[in-house]
Amino acid sequence: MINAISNNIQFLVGDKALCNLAYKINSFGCNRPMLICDDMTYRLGQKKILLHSFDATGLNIAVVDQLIGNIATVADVERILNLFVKNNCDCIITLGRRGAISAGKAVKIMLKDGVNKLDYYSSHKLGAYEVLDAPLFVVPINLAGAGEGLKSARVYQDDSKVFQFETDSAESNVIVIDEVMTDTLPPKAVASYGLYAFACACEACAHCDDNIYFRPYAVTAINILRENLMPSILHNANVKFRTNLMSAVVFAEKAYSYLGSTLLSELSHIISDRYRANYCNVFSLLFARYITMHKYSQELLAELLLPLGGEKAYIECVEEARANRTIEFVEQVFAKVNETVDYQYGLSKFGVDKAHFTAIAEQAIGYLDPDDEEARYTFIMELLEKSFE
Amino acid sequence: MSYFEFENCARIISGENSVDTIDKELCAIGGKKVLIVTDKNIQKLPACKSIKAKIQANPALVIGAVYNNIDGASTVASIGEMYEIYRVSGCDSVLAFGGGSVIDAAKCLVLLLATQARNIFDSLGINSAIRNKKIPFGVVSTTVNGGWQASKYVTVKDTVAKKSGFIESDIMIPDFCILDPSLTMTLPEKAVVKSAVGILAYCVDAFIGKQSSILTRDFTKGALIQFNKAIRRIEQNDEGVETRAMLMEASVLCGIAYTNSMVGVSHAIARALNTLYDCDFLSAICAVTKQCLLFNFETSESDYAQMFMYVAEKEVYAATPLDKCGSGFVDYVLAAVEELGKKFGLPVTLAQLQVPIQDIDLIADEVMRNYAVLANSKTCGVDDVKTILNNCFGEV
Repeated sequence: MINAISNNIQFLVGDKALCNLAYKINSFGCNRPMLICDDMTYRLGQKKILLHSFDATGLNIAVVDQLIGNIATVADVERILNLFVKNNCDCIITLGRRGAISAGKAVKIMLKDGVNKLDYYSSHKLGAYEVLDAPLFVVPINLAGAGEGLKSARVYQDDSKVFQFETDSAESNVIVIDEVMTDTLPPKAVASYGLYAFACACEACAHCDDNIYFRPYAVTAINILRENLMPSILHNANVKFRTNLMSAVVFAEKAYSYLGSTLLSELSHIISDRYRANYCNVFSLLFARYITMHKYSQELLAELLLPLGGEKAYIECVEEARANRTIEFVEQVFAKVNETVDYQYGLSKFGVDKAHFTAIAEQAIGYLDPDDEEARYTFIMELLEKSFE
Repeated sequence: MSYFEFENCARIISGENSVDTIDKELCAIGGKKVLIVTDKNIQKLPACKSIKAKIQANPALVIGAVYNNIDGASTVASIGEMYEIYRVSGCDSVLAFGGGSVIDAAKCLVLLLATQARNIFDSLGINSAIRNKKIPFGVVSTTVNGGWQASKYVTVKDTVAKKSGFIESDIMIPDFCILDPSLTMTLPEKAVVKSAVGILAYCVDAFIGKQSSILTRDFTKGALIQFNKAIRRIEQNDEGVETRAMLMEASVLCGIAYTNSMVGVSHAIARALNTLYDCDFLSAICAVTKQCLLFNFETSESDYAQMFMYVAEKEVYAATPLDKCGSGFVDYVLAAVEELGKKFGLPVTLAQLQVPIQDIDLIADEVMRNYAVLANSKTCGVDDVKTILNNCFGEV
């Protein structure tokens, strides 16, 4: 079997990581960065910190665009693109939350296609712009932004139309996670992103066995989550815990992004789009039910016990019992988080109507490979039923 | 979390017959007129002909030229020749097809083209080169250790001025690296086993080094899992395509890990021996691994203990008390090197490599000039290096 894996992202993580951003920009041969941030990030002072980190380096920001709010709109993206071209910029820095990061990625995609209008098919390719592979440097300030540093971008035209990109072209070149840039989130939001990262990492380890090249990212994420998820929910003001958790979110998403389309990701997209539910919450809910349905290979589940439980738990458990012990561990993690932040939920809480299960299942099957074991109607219905309450 | 940087290496395309994707991969990175860098022996292989045919069959691609005058090291002379051929024939991309020397030479060429520098020695050091131009660059490895060769390190030599230097640069990381185990089937078993020992040594340095991070450690563990599977097969005299595929996977994972952890003293010594005496790098690693492992025991016992789980038989690990796991790992590596060395005739001492014992001071100086020694887990001064080298000879 031929296995292909692309690796574009560099991570700068930890104390003083930001100090190395200017050097990284320079190493890409760039010297006219455009900075995209959002209003809130500006008010929190992170923009000032970022600009201060460039002081001694001689690197100057060519132009700044500031988004209002936390979503990227088509108008924002096209305005930013024009500014980028007009100011002869050569790379993009996005600082902030989900909206700013999505805007940066959308601009990167358009520059790569040489288009000046945003759509999926580049049909507006007017030759107005020269095709440019502009490096993208992402500095997320919270957990929601951290996961946005990878391949997806969401740009709103209006309430009824959203451009959702999932492409290698959107992948950032460098992600910087520095504690001075991180911002606190309420416990429920931390729990939501933390459990999502946990579910992504576990799924990346257990979904298939041709995961040799990306499993280490998932294992690292689980190792970090094991020690930082609960402390981060309880003490999000502690900068160490929340920075560590942000790293885990990025590494888990990195691992998961290699899997491509899976039943869990497709179902989560369908449900979150239909009912305007939070994608991360739907995904982690479905995962928590899915893992109990014995669809994963027993061998891969058994191996998952090592990062989940640690070496001692792994060695002390007899080989035949490891897969079940893994499921118990996962259930314990979800139970503990639910207990702490009163986070009990089911699909019913997201407004999902049981009468729509058939349509949801059929839509998901349409997106999946027909040879895929998961693409079975009865199984999907069973999963939806189990996840309802 | 203390600061770390982590980057993955090239896009990896692995598995049997993955070389069939060569034309698509070249097109995807924007190559149109390709300079193929190889050597005379590899050029005679049927695989080389089929790669050329595959490229020629694609209407979007042309072979601009083939350069085959690689003689074991990346020399200023060969890089200059390649540069001229690339320029005169109007190529716009580079494809390395071969083993370590070929890949290293192609990396140097790409660096020179991308920086538009006059001399490759202008780029010596750590990431000192600045990219002016993007050169599409692909690698097809014919050795099992191609994964780590697709990294950002290279040693370059000027045989006329009698000087050498070490370069680390992101610019040299290829856009893609094809690891097709079927291309390695002509390799002798000794070369395969030597690579396996090399992987183990790389894993140790990547895991224990001062620059290692939580990610490099997990990539190393992944490499050790694949290494362990492969070595069990080798022990049963199975060096077939699956075993080679496992070693290739291990080499990718440990290559990613060591690229991010700046490695340690065993690398620094092996590079010095390669520079001074043209010793094959892997042979040099085999000869020094044991003493370097023992040297670092004091600072790295707990790290060794963690790695023990990934190489030992599960029952052996379970029966070993926690405080004995570190020494258990050392015993495992020493026994593996010893056994494989005997069975396949690998060098396990510097004397076997024909390194002159009276040159210890010279070698130690060269080692200290290599920054890899700074990343070693235990602080390692020139006297420590001399002691290690002495011990490597003392085993004769």
